[in-house]
Amino acid sequence: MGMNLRAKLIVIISVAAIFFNFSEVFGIERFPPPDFEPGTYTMPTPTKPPARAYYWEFIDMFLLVAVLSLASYFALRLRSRRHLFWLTLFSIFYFGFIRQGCVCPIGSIQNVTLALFNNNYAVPVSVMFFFLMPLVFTLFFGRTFCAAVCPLGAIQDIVVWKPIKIKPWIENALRIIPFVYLGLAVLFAATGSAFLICEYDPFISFYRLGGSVNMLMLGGIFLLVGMFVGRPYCRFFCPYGAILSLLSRISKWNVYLTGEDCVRCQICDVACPYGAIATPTPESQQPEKTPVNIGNVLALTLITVVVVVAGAAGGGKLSVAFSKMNRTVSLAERIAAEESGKFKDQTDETKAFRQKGGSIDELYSEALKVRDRFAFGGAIFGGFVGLVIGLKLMGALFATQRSIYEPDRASCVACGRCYAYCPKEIIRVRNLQKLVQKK
Amino acid sequence: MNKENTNAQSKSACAVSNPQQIRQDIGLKTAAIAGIFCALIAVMMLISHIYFKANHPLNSHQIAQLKQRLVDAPNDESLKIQIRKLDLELRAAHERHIRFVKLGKNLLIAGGILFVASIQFAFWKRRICILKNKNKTQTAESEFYRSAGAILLIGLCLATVGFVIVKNTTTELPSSMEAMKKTAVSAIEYLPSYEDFIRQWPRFRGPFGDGTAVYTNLPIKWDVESGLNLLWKVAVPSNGFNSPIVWKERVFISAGTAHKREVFCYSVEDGRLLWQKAIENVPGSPQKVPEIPDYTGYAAATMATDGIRVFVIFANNDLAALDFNGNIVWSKYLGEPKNPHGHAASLVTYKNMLLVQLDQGEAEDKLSKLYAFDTATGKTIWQKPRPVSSSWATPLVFEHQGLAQIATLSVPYAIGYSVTDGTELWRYEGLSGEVTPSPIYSNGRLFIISPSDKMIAINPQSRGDITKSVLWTSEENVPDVTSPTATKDYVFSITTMGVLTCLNAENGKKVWEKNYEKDFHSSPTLIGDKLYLISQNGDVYVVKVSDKYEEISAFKMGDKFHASPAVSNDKFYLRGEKYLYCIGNKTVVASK
Repeated sequence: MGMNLRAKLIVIISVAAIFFNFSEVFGIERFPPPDFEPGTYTMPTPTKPPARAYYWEFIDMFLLVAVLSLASYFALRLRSRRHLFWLTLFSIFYFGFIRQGCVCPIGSIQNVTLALFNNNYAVPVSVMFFFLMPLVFTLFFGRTFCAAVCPLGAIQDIVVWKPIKIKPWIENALRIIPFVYLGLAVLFAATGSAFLICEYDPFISFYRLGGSVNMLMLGGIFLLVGMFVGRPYCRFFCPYGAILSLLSRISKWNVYLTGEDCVRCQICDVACPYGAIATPTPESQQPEKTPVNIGNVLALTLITVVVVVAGAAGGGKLSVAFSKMNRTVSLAERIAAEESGKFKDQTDETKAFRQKGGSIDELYSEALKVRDRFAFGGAIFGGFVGLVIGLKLMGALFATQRSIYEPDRASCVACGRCYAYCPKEIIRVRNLQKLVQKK
Repeated sequence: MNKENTNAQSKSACAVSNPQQIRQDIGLKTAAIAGIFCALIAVMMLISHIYFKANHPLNSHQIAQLKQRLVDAPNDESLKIQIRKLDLELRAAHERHIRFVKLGKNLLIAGGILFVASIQFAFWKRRICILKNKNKTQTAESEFYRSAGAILLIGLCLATVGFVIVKNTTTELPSSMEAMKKTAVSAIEYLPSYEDFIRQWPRFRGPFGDGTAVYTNLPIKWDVESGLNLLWKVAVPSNGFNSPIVWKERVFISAGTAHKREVFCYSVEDGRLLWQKAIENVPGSPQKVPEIPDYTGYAAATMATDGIRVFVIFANNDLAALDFNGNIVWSKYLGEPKNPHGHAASLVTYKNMLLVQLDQGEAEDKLSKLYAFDTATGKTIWQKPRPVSSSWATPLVFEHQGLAQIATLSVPYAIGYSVTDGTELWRYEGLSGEVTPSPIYSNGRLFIISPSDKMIAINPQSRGDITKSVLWTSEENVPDVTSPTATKDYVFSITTMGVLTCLNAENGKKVWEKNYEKDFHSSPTLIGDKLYLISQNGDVYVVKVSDKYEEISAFKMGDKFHASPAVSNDKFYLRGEKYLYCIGNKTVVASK
């Protein structure tokens, strides 16, 4: 066991070293062209890589449906962790390294949003397909997309080592964050300012074998944390996961263990690295003091109204900060700062703007329009966050009463780990094997 | 029975079988080996990274120094060879680093895969021990209050983050367009349009800096004695060779002595003095001013305006901005002057920039600079050191193919800069003497003068050292003080001795010449197809722009003239030694 401890320490230090050096590995410096005398050298024309062949879109769409179908089959019918693991590796290979994580259903939220708010933007069929198919599958089979299809989930899934158990009430509260992220992503996409989900995708740099130092570091940190807190991005950040968790609650089929045959051994709960096993509801020692009473309901309703109104008011005030992510606004801010003498130097953007002879008045006017849109959108965003908090509170009050351990429909990502540990499932499989042998 | 089953199953799950133990040990040891391997690679790469950052080729002081030396000696071939050799070495080092990084990357990926595989192998089926079900001690009430508390805490955290963001966000933009106009964060929004600008005479030799005007309805003859086409005249101080500038209803000139330096503002309607303002107590400017020869004086440089303020510079290097009511907006001292004849290069504005070409001393003194100041605040937007000696030519701002450039003349270089940040665009070597004639731009060509030596036509699209790639060079009657003017087809110049020369603008060949045998300091002015010339003794000549010399009129004014005319709203403003004259077609003005 001594060796085990030493080995574990070495492993942890090594992994940390790897992650922190990925920035050096992939962040290759650029070098400027040499100084040539005029007329002595013709600079080569930059070449563009050819566009991806059109038929590949259909192959992608076909593979998405195929892998979703297989994941659903493996998770719900075959109930095989082993099959799901190999499918996970395939997704890492194809949707991760080959497709380089783009377009992924998570990011497609922004394409769809932008198309809804900007008539000049059309969503490609394949992007819409990638956005919709996991939603449709979730409505039928639960979060099988998360199980073995999503490359972001897959890379986190294979590094899980010693997952710690997070208290359900902490986990429940932290699951507000994906909705906040979802609201922000929609707000920034709707205003045509940024695709936040893509810009801050922590794993895309790994799949592309290159990226900014900061993002590589962020990805490294997520994977490092992911060794001890299973799928931290999926559980506490993923905005698409937030949508899927809602749909999964009403899915036709979902991951299922033993039902009423549950012996409450708790093994599935410990085996699940993602805290997705719902535990039996504690029994009220004094039934008359149940939290579900008219006083609490009224109080929570009032709190919900207050946080929605406060959120809307506060969200609107974030317009100045948020709008700086917009290129027009950031250029206008910089030009205004240069004009006021705050900056003596010019950026490439301001130089280009000035050399083109752009009208500063028009730029300011356009920037203020964008800021107005952010003020309106920010208010809606703030109200939305307030509503999520209110509904979470209501959810805590009206928690589903259960007497057994079973996968939570909203948070279970159908990874299939619990099957291998559930004693009833083991008996079921053995009986099945015996039946097959007899036949 | 069920309970017994459960216990048995739990125990079986907790039990550590030998194969499981062996599997875990093998997996962990392999992961450890893979981890150590990756860590070693990572450490080596880290060392390489730190070393490379400390010695990054882009930050090579050696090559920067060599390049700076090349700027001072652009024809030094050995220097060029040294730079090329060093550049090649640095690039080779960079390539080696990239190869090392790529190799390290591949090894790390391989190590990472082995690491993940080992982890999976070791923990494919973890041992699970259930010791105690803590949930049994919880109640529904405590669970709810804990959940609600955590949710509200998250909400509070989000609100705090939002509050901090709002409090720490500053903006340079106003809250609305109306507020922007009220607060006037920048004067740029008030700056006149291009159409407004070219209708005024905002700088030496007009809006284009080449002595041409957009007005054509000016008299071809006037008489100060009889009052023919003389709208008004007003006595002006004689101690200033600068030319008048005009903005709408105001005419501005400056005058100065060792004791007092002033700005004068007159009404265009009747020549009434609206105000005069002494420029004094400029921060940092010593009380004792340097001695300046009388033939230049303290106020040789012509003022300039951006349409909101007027700017003035004197030979003691005092620079000031005044509003149209004579209040000083800002002023600054540009340091001790080192100019043998006194500063004379006029001021130029471009949008919100005030450009000052302050060439001083000898080139090796490294005192010469080109400044771009914010017209509203006087703050330096950018400044560029210039490897040249003293000069007296006014810089020219012109736009060629969408790019605004500044052309500057001195010894030994004519240099073109980007107006936005002062980046050097081109350089011509070969100017000599005391460079006073200013450059002009016409029909896609830039004309520069090496006094009494040669006139050179340049393609402003050229970049780098353009000494050997000029369009043409002419040595015909090259002026030494006055600046040229040009039409699409011809370039006109007049020497101090009075030889007017017309050159073909395309090839520099002389078309004709006319010797007036009079002294000229005033540069020619082009009004439509007429060229106006005024000699030092007040002889006025109006000449038709043509392929042969054709005199339209010739007459005399009773004053001495060194300044060049200003033209605005179909009127001439001529500064003589004694008077400022306003000349215009009386009948047309009356009908207006």
